[in-house]
Amino acid sequence: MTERRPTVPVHDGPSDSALAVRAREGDGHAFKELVRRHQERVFRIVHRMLRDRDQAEDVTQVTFVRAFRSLLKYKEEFPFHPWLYRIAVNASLTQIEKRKREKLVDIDLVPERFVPRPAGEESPLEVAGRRELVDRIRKALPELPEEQRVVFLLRVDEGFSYDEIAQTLDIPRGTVMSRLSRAREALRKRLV
Amino acid sequence: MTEANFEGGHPGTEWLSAWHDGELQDEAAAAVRQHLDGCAACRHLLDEFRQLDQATRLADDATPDAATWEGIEGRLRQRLEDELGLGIPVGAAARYVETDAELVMRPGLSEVRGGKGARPFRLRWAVATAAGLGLGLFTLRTLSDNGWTVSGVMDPAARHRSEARVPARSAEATTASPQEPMTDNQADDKVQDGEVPPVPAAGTALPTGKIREEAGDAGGLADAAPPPVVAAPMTDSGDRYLADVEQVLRAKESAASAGGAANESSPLEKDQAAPAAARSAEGSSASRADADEAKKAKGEMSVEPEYAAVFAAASRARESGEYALARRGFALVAGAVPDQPLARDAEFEARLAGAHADIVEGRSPDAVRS
Repeated sequence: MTERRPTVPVHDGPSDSALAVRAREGDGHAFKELVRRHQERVFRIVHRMLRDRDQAEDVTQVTFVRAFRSLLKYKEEFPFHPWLYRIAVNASLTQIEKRKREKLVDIDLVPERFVPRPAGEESPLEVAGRRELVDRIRKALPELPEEQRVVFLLRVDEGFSYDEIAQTLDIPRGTVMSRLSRAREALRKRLV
Repeated sequence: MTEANFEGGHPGTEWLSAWHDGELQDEAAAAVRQHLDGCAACRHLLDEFRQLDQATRLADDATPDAATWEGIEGRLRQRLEDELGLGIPVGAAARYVETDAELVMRPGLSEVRGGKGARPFRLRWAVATAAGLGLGLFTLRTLSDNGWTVSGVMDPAARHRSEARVPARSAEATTASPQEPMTDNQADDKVQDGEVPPVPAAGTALPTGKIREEAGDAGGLADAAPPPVVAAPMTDSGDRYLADVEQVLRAKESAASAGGAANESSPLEKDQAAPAAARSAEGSSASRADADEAKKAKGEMSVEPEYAAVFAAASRARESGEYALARRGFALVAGAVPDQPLARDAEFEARLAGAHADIVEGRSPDAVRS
């Protein structure tokens, strides 16, 4: 089975939910801390969806502003990060739709100076093969339908559980399961 | 759930994908595991899933290196500060610390304007801020012209000390010499506690106690204790402002209750309708109460230090961006002492707080309500 990354990094201090409640009551420090904790992950999710760094920055900012404005809607009995990332995903999807209408961006743009994550020890042949696979994945991912791509990235990149994905996207768990399997099937066929 | 339930003899992509993610329930997971023990094809499919996941993570070029992220984070910080008025801290310095001194956030948000719209929005914000500052300076100037000092406005204790000579509706009203008979206007601006001392020269501030000494035995006033000052501690927390206002209100209600239970009106109305009763509760003499009644008949009423404290607390609330709380405090003052210049100031301050709230919340970014 796939080894999962922790979905929520461990932080010192109050929980995200507690901070969100305090932010809702006017505590500026609390909202700042929430931004600090999640800005990188939000940016990563958004960028993975948009494949454009400038737009990812814009949408990341939009995400936190909308989150701030929507704090009254946040229910503290539920985890905070799916709620926040849902805003991020929706903002990204909106941007994608806008892009399609405007046909402005080549979604295969690869931002400069980004560093791939390090890999373990492998033979040269395996490394070459993997490198080719990575390149092909990079091209194949943007061609997935958005609803499959976001589910796949939340699971594989961010390590979200099915329940967390369901909560983030406000879809049934069964839909998460089916979209994920279809994404994997589509990628397999593309890479064969 | 067993292998027998698998359609076509295999779990299918969806089941294998879920098993790969560790998301199958125990019974289903056990069935898949059992199937995998004897099915190379399904094991090969799972291996492909593993490679896909691995390659996807390696293909993650959305994680910038440290230098690039610093730039991204800085721009994000600046944009959120522009839009929300929040300064986003960086790195270790940002670690959340539980503290009583909470920074009060500006209420409300504007529409997200994005990159292109941010500049016009910031320009409107700058214009509105300048307009607000201008009005604030005008307010202070007006208050000063009417005998208030900045310290009086901000510090209820200082305000109370200046109570003996203020409010004066106009500076010239205090310039009459003791030898000259006072005009009606000057009489209207007499010392609030009902004494008829020598009118101090304009700008002279005498503490209440000193005036009482100079007044001599004006109906026993020399022995009267000064009205209690309800301290309004200057704090940075909106919650504390609210507590200050509520504390004053409770004090007023208690004084009103002690002074006249027969009056069925609200505590504030009781206080307005029976100032004598309230003063009695505070230890004032009957003659002083009579003097107060006489002053009220002439359209003036002493500004009690409690409302000065409320005014000061509301001012601090407005400065901290607690506009709704500030407006409540100013409205309380304006409603409690409607005949006093302080009430006019409170009404103006309430409108200013409302205008600031509008600006912050983007309702009327380039206009201040008159």
